Amino acid sequence: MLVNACVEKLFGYGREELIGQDVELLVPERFRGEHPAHRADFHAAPAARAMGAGRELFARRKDGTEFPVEIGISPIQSPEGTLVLSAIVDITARKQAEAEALQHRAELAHLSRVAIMGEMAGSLAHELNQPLGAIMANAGAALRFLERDSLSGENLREVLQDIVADARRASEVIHTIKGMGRKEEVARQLLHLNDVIAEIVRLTRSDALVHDCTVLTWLHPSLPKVEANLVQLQEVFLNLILNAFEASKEVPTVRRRVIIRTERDGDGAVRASVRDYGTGLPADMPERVFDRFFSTKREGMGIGLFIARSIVVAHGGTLWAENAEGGGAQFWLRLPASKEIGV
Amino acid sequence: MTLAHALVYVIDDDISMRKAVGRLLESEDYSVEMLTGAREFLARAPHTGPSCVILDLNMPGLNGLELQEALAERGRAEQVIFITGGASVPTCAQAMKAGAVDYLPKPFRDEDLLSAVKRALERSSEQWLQRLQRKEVRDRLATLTPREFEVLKGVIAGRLNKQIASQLGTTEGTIKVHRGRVGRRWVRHRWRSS
Repeated sequence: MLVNACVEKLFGYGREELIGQDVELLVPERFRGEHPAHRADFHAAPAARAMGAGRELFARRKDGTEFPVEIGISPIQSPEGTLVLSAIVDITARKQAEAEALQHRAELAHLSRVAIMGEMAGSLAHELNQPLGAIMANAGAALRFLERDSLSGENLREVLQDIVADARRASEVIHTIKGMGRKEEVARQLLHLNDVIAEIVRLTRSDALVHDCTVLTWLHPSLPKVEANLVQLQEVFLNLILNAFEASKEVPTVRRRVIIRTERDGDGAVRASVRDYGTGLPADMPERVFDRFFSTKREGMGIGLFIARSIVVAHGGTLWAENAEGGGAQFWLRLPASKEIGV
Repeated sequence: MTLAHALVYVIDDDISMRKAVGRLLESEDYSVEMLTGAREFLARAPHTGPSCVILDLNMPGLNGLELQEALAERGRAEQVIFITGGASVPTCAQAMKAGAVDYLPKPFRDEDLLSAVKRALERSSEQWLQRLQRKEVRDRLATLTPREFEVLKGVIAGRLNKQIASQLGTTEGTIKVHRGRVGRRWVRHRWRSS
């Protein structure tokens, strides 16, 4: 091995320690065993390329510490046979920046969930108060009947069944809220897109009422499942639906309709669209709505759709928007279907 | 005209809420009718007796406040009690200003709802009573001749026979005769005592 001054600095060796040694000295011990085989492969078909074929590479300093690297290798013909020129770049700083960016995005996503929950607080309170109100009225009625000794066993059973059903309804709402507030939740599961949408439509019911919007769903009955994170996917639809309500604010009540559809997209994907008849997107560049901090709302932070898109992209899907024929905006979401068979 | 018995309407699009409130009212022996929406209620013939409406504020279609307004426009006498899952100060203020009997955020205590219903039905009964009395008065007035009606107006205004006579261009004696007839047919005891 021949080295230059940069290598000395990068690895902490003096050049006399390296010259003539095998290059494996610079490879972390855990990769050393397989390295000669890679070398042989390269010599069999020598051509300039990046080393590692997409794997993350690490190098080892004299003191045993490791650092992430990128290595370009190219063959050089010399009288002594084929030499390999390796250009090694220390990418510690870049990796750190990437990790920070990821962290930022997670924080941003959390922030947007919190913001959305704030916006939805009214809806959530309504969803809870409804079953709680019914439980209290039912229990009160039963007590009054009992006091007057005019409650049959059959009637009592009916009241209790209703109370149980409403308590369950309330706990489902809480379950959903708990899921939404959690900071990190990346586990994916097999989901029915239709179920996710139905749940969000239910949760946004009172927002719909406040905005005087009618929500219509047109859900394909036999969609393949998708592999996704429930909370994140809920957040995507929450964003799209709340946006649609917001966009409908300025138009007459008869036009305040939001139509949500799901359909198959070939064999390998499912598609959902959220369409409103509101003010529409900026005509020249509808895609601007996905920019970070692009907002038309006075109190909006402009990160909702940005987050929604990054979630969809992280799931291997696409999210795009267009101005629909007849006015209003239409958002499209495409997700790869799970390989698993069964609906 | 006879008064029908008191009736309580429950209008809520949430079926379990509707059922529960209906039960609560039945436990206190109220007659209850349950409806899913405001339009359904407006389409019905009004109840001809004391009645009140327990109305959910947030409903699809016509919401609670809009129904309250529509009832007022039609001159209907139903007393309104609002129940709501998402209470807010402005809507509460608007509802009370428009004459609601009460505004109860869900979940409410059963005694709060029942006492609101009691107050609402009392108010409604009073209105019906007044309405009936007015009708009786109108029926009696209809039996007077125009001349007698003029004389009655003068009497109610507290004028002397002399004054009424000069106003109507006749003599005091004639007025006395008219007064006698009006009094015999109607409210004699009232002005005898005065």
